[in-house]
Amino acid sequence: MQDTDLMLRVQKGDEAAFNKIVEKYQGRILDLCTRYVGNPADGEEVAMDVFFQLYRTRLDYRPEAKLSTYLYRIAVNRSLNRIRDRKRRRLVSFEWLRGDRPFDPGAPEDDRPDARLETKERESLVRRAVDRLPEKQKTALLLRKYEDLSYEEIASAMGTTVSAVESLLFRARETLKKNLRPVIS
Amino acid sequence: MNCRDIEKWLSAFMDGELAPARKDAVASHLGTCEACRSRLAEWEAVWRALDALPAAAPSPAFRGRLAARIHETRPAASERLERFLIPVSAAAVALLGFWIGYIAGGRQAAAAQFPESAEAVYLDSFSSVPTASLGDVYLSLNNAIEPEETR
Repeated sequence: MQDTDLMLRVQKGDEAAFNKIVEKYQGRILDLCTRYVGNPADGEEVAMDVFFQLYRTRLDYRPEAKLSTYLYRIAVNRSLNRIRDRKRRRLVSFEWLRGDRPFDPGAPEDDRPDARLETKERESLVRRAVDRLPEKQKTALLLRKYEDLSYEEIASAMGTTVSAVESLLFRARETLKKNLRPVIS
Repeated sequence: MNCRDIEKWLSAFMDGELAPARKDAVASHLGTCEACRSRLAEWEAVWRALDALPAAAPSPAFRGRLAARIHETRPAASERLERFLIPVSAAAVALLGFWIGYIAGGRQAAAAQFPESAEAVYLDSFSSVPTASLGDVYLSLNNAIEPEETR
């Protein structure tokens, strides 16, 4: 069943249709939110907010809008709000930024201690480089790299133009090239 | 076409987002320009480095917590009934008020239209009553009391 049909059923109170949407998108939305806010616990909270908002505002959804784009837009806004709140409350997870905890406990790792350290250091460096990007560059980069969205879809999710997305990705690549010099050289 | 022209399209070229004609132009330039090839290679290395951030997976409790949160916002059955009854009761009261107003308004309008006939009907009913009847007694008592009250 198409996303639009599912949403129309959700609007009529069909819980099973809502569950199908959650099942279909929870991985992608959680992935984006976690990468955006920088830690799994916050990422899961934000992803939950996204689906909760979708349910709460289900009657506002218009079939003209692509559901995935609609969800990504909510996810980006919610993630940005979470980061801003955290900055305001000074609750940045230094433990996480140091890269002390594995991102995904189930992820396969190299058994050699020096290789594990190298992997974690690399991960930590990359995370910091991505977190330091300006908000819009970071959004465009995450949607392109990890969600594999087209420029048009990114533009729609960010409420901007395709040429602006092109420019954001160009600048993001240039900035990362400088900040990831130790990793890529 | 020089490097500056190519530079602005390089990102879209790498993402496969260029129109065929422009894509061919960039590819042709890259074939002859070492500097642009080098830049593209660096960007590709950046892109690969980003793979270091692993994917996240939802915890087993995610769906359950989401369902609980949605359930919390739903009104209970009694609350739903209350939400239904309040507007219905209000509408019924409003309708009753409107009906009473309509009836009273109609009577007043009739009285205003025919004041003489209303008075005539009232007076006629007491103008001639049989002697020694109840009406006769009432009228004689009323006539006897009235002058004293007005004094």
